[in-house]
Amino acid sequence: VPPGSLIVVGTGIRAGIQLTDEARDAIEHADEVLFLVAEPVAAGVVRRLNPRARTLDHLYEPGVERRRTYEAMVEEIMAPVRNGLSVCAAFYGHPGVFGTPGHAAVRQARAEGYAAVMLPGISAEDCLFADLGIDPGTSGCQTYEATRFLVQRPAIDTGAVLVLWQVSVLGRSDCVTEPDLTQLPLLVERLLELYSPDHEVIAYEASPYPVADAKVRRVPLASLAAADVPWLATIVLAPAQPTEAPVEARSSTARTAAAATTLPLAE
Amino acid sequence: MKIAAYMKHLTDDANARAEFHRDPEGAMTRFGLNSEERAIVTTRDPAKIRAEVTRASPQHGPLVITF
Repeated sequence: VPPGSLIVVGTGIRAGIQLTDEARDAIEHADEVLFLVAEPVAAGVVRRLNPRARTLDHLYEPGVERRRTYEAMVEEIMAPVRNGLSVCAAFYGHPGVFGTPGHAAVRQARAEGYAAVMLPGISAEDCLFADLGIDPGTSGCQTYEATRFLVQRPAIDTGAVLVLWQVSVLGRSDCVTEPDLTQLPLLVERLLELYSPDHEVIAYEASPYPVADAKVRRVPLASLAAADVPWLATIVLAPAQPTEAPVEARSSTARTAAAATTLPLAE
Repeated sequence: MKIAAYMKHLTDDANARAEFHRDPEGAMTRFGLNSEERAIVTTRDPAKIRAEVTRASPQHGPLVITF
């Protein structure tokens, strides 16, 4: 194995307090750290852990195809690896959940013979399950990037939770720094083929700050296109014919009963 | 604006977070936030807080909203 290595980590959504110990170690001990995070507090956390850290956000140029931007990020991450350095690449949330450049960097490093690993982080979906009281194990859960959901029209089980990511950039394949909701009516049209107009849709955005709440907007599906959708929103649809409603929708009595019948996670 | 500094303080210091949860107004006042800044944090709205944090960090790049 040639000198040079890569560890790809996630900062979590609430940077600093959702950073795992192993991710923190990787950032602190790397010869070079390259990072892409969603806001300045998270950037500060990474820089304080390793003064050699530098951002990749200059590559995120509005209007440029994201595929090309991610290729450029992989090249920037790989350059110090090829120079024999230990490199840590840190991304917002989980580095491998909607983390194209993180996965691509690991694949590229391994293809060139370098040691490369990805460490898990706390994703927006992890926060979503906690904040909304949804257990994906109860009904099942389907997760799609919203544009792919619209274009590829996958078969959907309406008895399971449906989570759609990146609805605020629907139809866009370029780098975007402001939401573009112009195509949202098309998504609503497709969802109306599957769900009733009064089916509740939750527009959810996890909070990056320890003293702020998640943004949660609940609207009937038919009203979604006109709703105030948070910038970084993920859309959640509960089962149409649920085998069991999300936890927060149940009464406290039902919740207690459900807890009492929960199977152990491991034996 | 001191909100960005306060978010950094809360991120770095578990005692500061506990102090905020016990007594939000007192914790923010002791840190030096003025009434306008306290009102923004009290909304607990991440978008409003992010706007203030971003305004205080012009060197930060564009808001990355896709990955």
